[in-house]
Amino acid sequence: MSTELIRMENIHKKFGPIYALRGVDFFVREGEIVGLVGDNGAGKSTLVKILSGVYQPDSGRIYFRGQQVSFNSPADAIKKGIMAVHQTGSLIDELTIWENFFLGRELTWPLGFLKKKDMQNIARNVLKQLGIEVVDINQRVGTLSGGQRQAIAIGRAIYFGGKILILDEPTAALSLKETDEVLRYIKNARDKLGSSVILISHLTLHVYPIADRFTVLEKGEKIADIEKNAVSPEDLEALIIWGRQGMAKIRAGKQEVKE
Amino acid sequence: MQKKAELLATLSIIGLLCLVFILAVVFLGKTYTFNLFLLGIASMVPIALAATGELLCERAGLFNVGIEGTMLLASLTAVWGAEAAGHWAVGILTGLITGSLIGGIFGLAVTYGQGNQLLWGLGINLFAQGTVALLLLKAFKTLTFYRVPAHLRVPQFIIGNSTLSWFSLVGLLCAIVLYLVITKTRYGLRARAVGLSPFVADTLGVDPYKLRISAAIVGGITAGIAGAYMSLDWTGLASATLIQGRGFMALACVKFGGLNPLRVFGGSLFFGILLAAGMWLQNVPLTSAIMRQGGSYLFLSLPYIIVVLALGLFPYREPLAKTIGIPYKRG
Amino acid sequence: MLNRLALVMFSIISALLFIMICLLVLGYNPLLFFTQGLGPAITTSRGIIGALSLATPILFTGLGWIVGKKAGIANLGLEGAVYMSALAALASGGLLKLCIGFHQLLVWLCAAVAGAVWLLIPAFLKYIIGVHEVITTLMFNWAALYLVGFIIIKFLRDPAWPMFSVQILPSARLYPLFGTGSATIMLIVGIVFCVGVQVFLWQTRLGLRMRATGWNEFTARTLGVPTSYLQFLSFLIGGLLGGCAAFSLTAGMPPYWRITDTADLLIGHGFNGIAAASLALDNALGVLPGAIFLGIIISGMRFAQIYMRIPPEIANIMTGIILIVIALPEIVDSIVRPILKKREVLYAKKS
Repeated sequence: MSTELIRMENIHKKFGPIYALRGVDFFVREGEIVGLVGDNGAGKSTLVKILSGVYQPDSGRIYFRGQQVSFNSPADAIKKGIMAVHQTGSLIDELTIWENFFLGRELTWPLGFLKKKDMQNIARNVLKQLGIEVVDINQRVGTLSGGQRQAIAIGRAIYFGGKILILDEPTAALSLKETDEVLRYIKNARDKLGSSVILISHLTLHVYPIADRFTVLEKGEKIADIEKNAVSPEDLEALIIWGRQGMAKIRAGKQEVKE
Repeated sequence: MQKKAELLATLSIIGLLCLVFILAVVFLGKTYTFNLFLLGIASMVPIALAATGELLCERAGLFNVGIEGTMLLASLTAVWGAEAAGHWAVGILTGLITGSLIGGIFGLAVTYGQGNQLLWGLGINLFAQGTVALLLLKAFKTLTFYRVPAHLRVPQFIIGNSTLSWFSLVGLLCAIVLYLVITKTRYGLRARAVGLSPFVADTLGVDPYKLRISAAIVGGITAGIAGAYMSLDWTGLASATLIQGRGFMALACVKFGGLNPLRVFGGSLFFGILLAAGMWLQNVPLTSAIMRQGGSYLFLSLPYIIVVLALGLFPYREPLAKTIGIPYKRG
Repeated sequence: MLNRLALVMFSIISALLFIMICLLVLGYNPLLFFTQGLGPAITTSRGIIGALSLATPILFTGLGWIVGKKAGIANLGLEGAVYMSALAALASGGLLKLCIGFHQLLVWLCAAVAGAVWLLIPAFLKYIIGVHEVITTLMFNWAALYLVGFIIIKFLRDPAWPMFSVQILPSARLYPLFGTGSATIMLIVGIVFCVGVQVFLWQTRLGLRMRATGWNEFTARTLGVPTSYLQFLSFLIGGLLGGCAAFSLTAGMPPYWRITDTADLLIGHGFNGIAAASLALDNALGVLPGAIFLGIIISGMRFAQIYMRIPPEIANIMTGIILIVIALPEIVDSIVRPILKKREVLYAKKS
């Protein structure tokens, strides 16, 4: 059993009258790919936004390698190596590819002057490894296709050595071929760099092949936490769609992970 | 297509400036034109400074109407500071600090305080008007204006019929440096990111709150220096009507010039000359007669009208930021 | 509802506190501010009438600001509109000779139209090219200030008094409502206009469309509302209202009925209108108490000038602080909420 990297305990979050998360527990081990799944409105995005420092939980605790932490801003989370690619926007359309790639971690001369050429070359190379041939590194990101944009965001997260990558619906807007490549690249990140990955997706068929474990949320609560070898893709989907009723079927014959 | 239109506009502006220059030489003679040019340089300093500071702020998504009030208050505290310490440099420093304080409070209010930037800027202007009147009475015992003692003014050196000070050039240099910072450094890129999408910048570790506050402080510092310049260097007076809308003109300069240095600095030079020429033309034989018959008022109103025309004819197309005036809230 | 009132109260209290601190720091006695400044303004008849007469133009400019704000534009050009309208009023009121009643209406009309005409250029620039109205209107304010000087000296000069304009002729003048002082019938007109604007904004189709434009321009446009045109219209309406303010400041300002070449009586009403409107939280009916409150402050400052020898411009400090605090509703909310939590039931009615 590998060590726990992140543990979130009893997380509650309300937005006005909307109870987004009720007492959710969530953990991620080192080098593990966790599929955070559930139907729309389950609270998946909210949970990872708390983990990445965008939101503050109303109550609950977060532990990083056993030590309690609190992330008051995304910068705090980034310092611990948590890099997120959000669904609601990870790129700024008006900025160029290399500007988006390096924002927040720019390479500079003394006094802050940008090392444009270096950054452009590095961005170009990283994207090439992802299979994206960049025609113009100075092209604005807003004019690129979904797959290219996703590649930039993911490549950025991986290149800057994230210990934990959070990917919120990474394949939702991609073509089949792009999906295949992105998933392969995520797996490489875990295999070669030892990063943990939290993968949010409502497309279980995409997530299933590469994930090690699934945490299922429903309407703000966690209803299941299952190892991959304990559930089939169809059962997982049933769990998501039918919720607790589907859970009964699983309990009947399969194994649940002990935390 | 966009770029072509932009180029055409810039060229026509240059052409217009050259035309004005030629006309000036023809009608006023070489010496007067040279004097006018120097006057313009001296006059453009506060506008260029305040404009580059505001350029940074607008890039980051802040719209600071309160530049005018900041300049006014800084011009007064600068005189007070110079008097207290006996040297003009302290005065400039006092003005700078005043500006940074106002900028900092503004920054805090519109970020963490989620305040309305327009109302806040207007509030600063009104507040400055009132405070300046009070300070003028209490500190300088006057209801209209106060003449800064000669030894406290920034030393000028004389060229031909005009004077210029080292400080004007330093001020211009500061504006140019700030411009480079905005366009070529990491800080400028981050400011731009915050102005375009504070959320994305935040997720990448660029704190929009802190960045906007720092931009507001820098804007306040430039406005403070500009204000101190107006009282200790340019006019040698401290009065409630010193700034004459230059703060607002800096805003116009930013809208007019955008990121094009030629437009920003050329624009501030042009506006500066217009503002200065009003008084100056009263001494020129060709126009002094008209000036006396109320024409001076007409000429004083011209710069403002021309600025509006310039904005209408040559607007800078590309928006500086998408989120100007909208406060950002983190979850 | 309660937290809105709290915001307004908070801004007023902050302004008062702040100015007392300013006075204290600079060596004045802050209590005198109340007894010799604001006190006479609300207790003596001269003070009250003065406050009402000062409130009248602010009523109109405040309404002008609100109409613009509701449509989504920031009409800062009311200052300039007031100046130019005053010129039109003086020209039609001081140079023409007509019969009473008709003359007054004509002068009023000229002033109102002049205000709208002056704002035509900034409005057009916004309509056609999309230039930011904040800057164009501010520039035009300054242009108007100097144009006033030019036109008065050139065309409207009073031969007997070189620095003054012609006086409005008796046939066009408005006379005091209360016997003395400067409060005229325009005060009543202003109150009627407050109700009128409120009705216009909330009960008419045009008003609804304007408000829709202000709330979400994009959505309104996709629903077929001619947003640019409505914003243009709101500019002009603001100009008309500014013209009414100018009318009350020239023909409706006994015993002067004139202005100087530096526009002395006209300065500041534009921004005071914005302050009054903000104090009313941009509500047309609320502009009335807002304007009266500002009138009391300014009137009080005039008394303070006489008794305490402080410049009346310090009223601007209060106005400025009021604007600043009203611009921070969230902060006030976070301060007031714990206090109001004790009365949980009342607070639950938050709008």
